[in-house]
Amino acid sequence: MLLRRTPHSLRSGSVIIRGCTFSRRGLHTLFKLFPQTFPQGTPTWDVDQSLLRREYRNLQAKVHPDANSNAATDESSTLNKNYHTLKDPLRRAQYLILLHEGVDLTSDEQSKAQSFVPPTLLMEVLEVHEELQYAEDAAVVSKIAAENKARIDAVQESLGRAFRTGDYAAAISLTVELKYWTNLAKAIKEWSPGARIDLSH
Amino acid sequence: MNGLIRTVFGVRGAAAGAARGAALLRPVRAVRLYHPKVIEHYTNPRNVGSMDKKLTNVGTGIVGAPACGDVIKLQIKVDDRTGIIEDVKFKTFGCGSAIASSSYMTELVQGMSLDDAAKIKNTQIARELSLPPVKLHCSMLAEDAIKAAIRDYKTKRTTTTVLR
Repeated sequence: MLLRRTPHSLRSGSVIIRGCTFSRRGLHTLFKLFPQTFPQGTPTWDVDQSLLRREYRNLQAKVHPDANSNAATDESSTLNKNYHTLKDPLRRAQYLILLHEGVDLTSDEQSKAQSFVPPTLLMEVLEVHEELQYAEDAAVVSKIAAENKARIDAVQESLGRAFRTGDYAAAISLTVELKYWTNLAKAIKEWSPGARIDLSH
Repeated sequence: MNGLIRTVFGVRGAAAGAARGAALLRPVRAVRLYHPKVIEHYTNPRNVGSMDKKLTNVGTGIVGAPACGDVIKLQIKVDDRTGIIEDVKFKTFGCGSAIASSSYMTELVQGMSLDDAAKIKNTQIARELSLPPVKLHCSMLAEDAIKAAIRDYKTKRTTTTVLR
């Protein structure tokens, strides 16, 4: 299978994708596992989410142990992982970059070597984090959440442009940026009055 | 965060044996074992805060780990005549190990000369905090942070000298 869980992926709940030499030849990618959503089977950034969800549910109905007692549990959970890799923008971007460039952005060494993040961006991440830390009520937090969503939307739009024009250098930097804002979104979601905000991964 | 504390104390609490048994029944991803030293720095981080980064004797390092999305800001205040780090502050947005690594780093470099601080290796931090292999990158990030802070301070000094 193209997807394998590693100790790190178990901690972060994300999927680390290996076997890129095999998949880079285009012989087999996750996109081919959902032929109704991706009739050409070619890797793409643009996903019809409702189509993908429907196809996933149909496939899951065949392999889920609850529905089919003969089905293996792995098959169902692999399908679930594959679905989330294509569904989730951050994971999809990481997967596309692995397919096209052979760069694994979930690896610390590779992502450090291949991407450049301006200190101003890191500064902004820290500032928003601080704002969240000192937020006293839900109204402030929802404002922070809305601003963060706008950032994520903007990055995703640029990512779409980068993938469509084949600008992978830009796609790599944007994907790394998306990782920072996605972390922040996670922290915002876990906010509760007076609690400390940290990441668990 | 609450999850972390719950997990940590759930596993390391008074009924550690029983809790560990219970932990085995939980999904694997919910189990996060931190070394007591990590927990100590995490619950009681040293030198948290900020300094004015415009001051010429303050060096600021901001570094990020692109794979996990952690960010560390580490600042040093240096005695211009002796080159000794007289104050350190940090701010980290990240996991428990990243917070502990940067907290321990600030403790370590306080009172150190710039040259000695620049020589600190991540392995020293990892050893002190008993970081598991998957968390080694947190100690590397702390090493990057002090190096970046020293670089920033030195750049400021050079500029100042040129202006004179």
